[in-house]
Amino acid sequence: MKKIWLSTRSIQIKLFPNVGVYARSSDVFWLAFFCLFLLFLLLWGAAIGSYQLSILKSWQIIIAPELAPEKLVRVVWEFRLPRLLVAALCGAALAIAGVILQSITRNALASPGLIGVEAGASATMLVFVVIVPGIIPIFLLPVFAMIGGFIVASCVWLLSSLRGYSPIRLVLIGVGITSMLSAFSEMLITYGDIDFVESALMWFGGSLHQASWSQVKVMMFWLLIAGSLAWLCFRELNLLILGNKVAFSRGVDNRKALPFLLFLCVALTSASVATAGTLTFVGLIAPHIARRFCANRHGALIPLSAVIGACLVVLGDSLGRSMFAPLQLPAGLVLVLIGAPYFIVLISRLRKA
Amino acid sequence: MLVIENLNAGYKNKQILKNINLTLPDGGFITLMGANGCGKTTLLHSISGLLKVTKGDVFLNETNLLGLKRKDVAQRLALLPQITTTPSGLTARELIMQGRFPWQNWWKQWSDVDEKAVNDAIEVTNVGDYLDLPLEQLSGGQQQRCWIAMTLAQDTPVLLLDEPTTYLDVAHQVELMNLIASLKSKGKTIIAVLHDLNQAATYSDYLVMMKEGKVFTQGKVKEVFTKENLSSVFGLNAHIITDPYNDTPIALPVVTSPDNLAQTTDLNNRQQMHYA
Amino acid sequence: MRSTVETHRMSGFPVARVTGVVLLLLALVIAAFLHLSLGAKEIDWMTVWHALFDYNTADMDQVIIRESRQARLIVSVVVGASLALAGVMMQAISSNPLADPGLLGINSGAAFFVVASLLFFPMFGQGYVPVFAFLGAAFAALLVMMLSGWEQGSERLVLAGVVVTALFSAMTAILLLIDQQGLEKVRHWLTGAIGASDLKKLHWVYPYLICAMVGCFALVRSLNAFHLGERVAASLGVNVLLLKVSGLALVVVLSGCVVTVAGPIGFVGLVVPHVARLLVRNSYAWLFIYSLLIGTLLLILSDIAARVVLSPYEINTGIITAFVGSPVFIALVLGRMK
Repeated sequence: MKKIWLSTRSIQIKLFPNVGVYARSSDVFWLAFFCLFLLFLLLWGAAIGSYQLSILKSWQIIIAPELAPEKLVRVVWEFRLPRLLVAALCGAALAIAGVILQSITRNALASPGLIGVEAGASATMLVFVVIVPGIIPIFLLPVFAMIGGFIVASCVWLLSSLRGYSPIRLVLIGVGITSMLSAFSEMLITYGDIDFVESALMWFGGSLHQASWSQVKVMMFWLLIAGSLAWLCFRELNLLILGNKVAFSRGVDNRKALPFLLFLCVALTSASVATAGTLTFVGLIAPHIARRFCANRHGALIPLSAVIGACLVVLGDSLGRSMFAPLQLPAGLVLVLIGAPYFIVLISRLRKA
Repeated sequence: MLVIENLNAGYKNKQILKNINLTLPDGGFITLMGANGCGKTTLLHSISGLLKVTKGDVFLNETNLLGLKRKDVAQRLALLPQITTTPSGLTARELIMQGRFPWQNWWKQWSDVDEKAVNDAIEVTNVGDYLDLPLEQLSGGQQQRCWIAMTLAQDTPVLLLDEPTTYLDVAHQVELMNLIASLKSKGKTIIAVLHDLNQAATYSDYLVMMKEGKVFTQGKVKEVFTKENLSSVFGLNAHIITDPYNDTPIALPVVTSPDNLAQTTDLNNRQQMHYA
Repeated sequence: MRSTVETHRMSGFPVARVTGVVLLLLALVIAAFLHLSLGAKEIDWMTVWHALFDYNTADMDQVIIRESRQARLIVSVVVGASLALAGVMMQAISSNPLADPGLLGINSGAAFFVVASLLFFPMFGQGYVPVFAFLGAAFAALLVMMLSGWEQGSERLVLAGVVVTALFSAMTAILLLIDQQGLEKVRHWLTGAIGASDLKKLHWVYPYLICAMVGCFALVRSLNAFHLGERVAASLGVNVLLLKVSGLALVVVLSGCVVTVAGPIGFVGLVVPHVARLLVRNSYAWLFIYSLLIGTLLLILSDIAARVVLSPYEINTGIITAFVGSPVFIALVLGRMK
């Protein structure tokens, strides 16, 4: 692995007496760096589109909307900004969920999609869109998708703890349940009414074209609650990485900590799946990129992955809008395209080390 | 004083520990011995709560450990399980600091007490030279020292060590055993599982010999480490002599002379032929 | 189970196993007749018999059987047999009970290459479709191997497969989005449709299939040795690397053929070897034979279900096998993993 050129020595950052964290100065640097990068991507994303702006112009419109022409303000504030923010928030949520899942399973290939949340949410969504359309108002659909995701994830959890919990079993059972549900979804897609199916398909690809400010608020709420709870568990996660036995004998109560962390993971994933559809690769890749900078120190890893996840989805969405314009590629698919090759190179390099 | 009463434990449909009763003195080096599969590690795990006890109790200074929360147990007992992997991306200090987990919570992140405990642990284990190096760059012996430092930083009166010297070469084993034995002077009670008979006899004060999930015998080293006991616990035929330097018993396995060897193999062959 | 006694006596006629094969063949014939007679329109067995051995073009029912159902039956048989062999081989060379060409992304790799070739290289004749499928399958297999490594545990291989599958299906989805009209037919094929297939596609692949099947049986001795462990096999004189590479090549060819003919059909390769192993344990020759028969049987039954369950609609066979296969996968995980 590439050596980080900043010191590996940790310094104590004391906020109050008794309240402080140990962090490396490099962690703080990288966090600041990626925050700036995210800001840049947001500005760039706000600038591109069918009505092209300069980055400077988009900055002006965002900080001082009253000075800009009304039409531009509408384009940026009503269409582009909510979409970008939803993208960023979903990316951050999925990245945190990915960190949690990879750490508690101690498996670098685990991703939040694997525990059945995405498949559950999609299948529920399809049932209400294709089989019984019109039963629920459209704005409630995400809520139902979320409930579906939760139900499926709890089934996976229950099944995997039938004979004593093991993280590997959790993930593998997730794979099994996911493939069953996707067979079900495929059936609905192939035989459902084409009009209903079309809108469902768009959503499957991880599409953000209907983002609104209310979605921004909802996502923000989930990310703040579940994300900060997850961050507060960073010491548990640090220990869980060292192995179940080590964690347990340091006082981490696996029977409580694991379900709680898993719950956070499911909440974050299903919230973002319900808003933006399936963005499979973010939860897998963002933690990996972040780990290159701060290894498995979760105090830094969680915020850093969140920012990187946000960058990835914003990037994927903006590229998807601009690459083959006017054709819009869903952000999820673009992410797979850029993410997968990187990921494969990364993993093969890790294995050699 | 660690008191174990009527302890039964095991895995699904396989009971391993059967009615263990033990009273272990404070402030000594206690070694659990026995052949493979006799339940030493299982006993260590059930004392620390890692394995659910089906029946019985474990008392530490009259507190029943089995009813306590995980963190409360971890403030009293520190278990170092067998370590097989090296965590990546952590420095030695970051590993050791994680031993403070049971003393921290959401509103008490890092206090001066934590700082002092970590510094003490670093001093005792003498890992100061490589504190800020990544663990991957350390040798096996150095890594094991760091793990012990982490266990010490937990600041518990009792330490449980599961085969702390496995995978180390001889010089590092001795170095590590000296370190562990020196912890007695800090008032710690050390309960360890050791494979090497002579290591156990040299360093321990008190031996617990286990056989088939039960305590076979226990007591001071010189009383328990006898030819008869070794023969019935391990099925080992050995002479016992006294180490002239340490004044501790040592087991020397009986080597069969070539003639005897030939006879036994001959016998074995004949038996096999018979079976065939 | 009943065959265990037989195996201790190495020589002699393996009565129990041959009986098993005969019984399975009998079941196959019955299933085949069921397959021909059931469907959107039920046709009685006598007509089926006549259609097969005393064909009369005037009878519409007989025409249905000869023109549509018979082809479908043949495709099911071929697909089932090849998937089962691929599954046994995959599980054998990766020493992993959870291996399956569908689960490991090999099928979706082949599917992506086929779709891409239809879109970007329409000038190649359709006879080249299997070649593209092989390329895709080989590429996906290499990717999975790179991601997981041979020696790693089962979970790593499966997760690597999930990642590779996600990659290829996303790329296929993008292609479908780019050319929505042109690839409309492909959409159906992508969920594993035997109904959409015909005998013409079978003609493209049968030489490869026959070679691959013969190849599987040629590796039997090495596989038996390899079953004892890699080191043991090496010291018995097996070229382990060669065995793995040729085994993987056979898997690639088999699943490439299946994808060409019927689209990516998953889980058959996972389920069948396990069922076969309940009957025979310790000889790969018999395991191949039993798997071949059971795989064929399973696929015929799945295809019947696909046409009967939601009649008059047809479900894609790949969906049925996923419904049957994923519970088995979960049961395997629950039963086998510590």
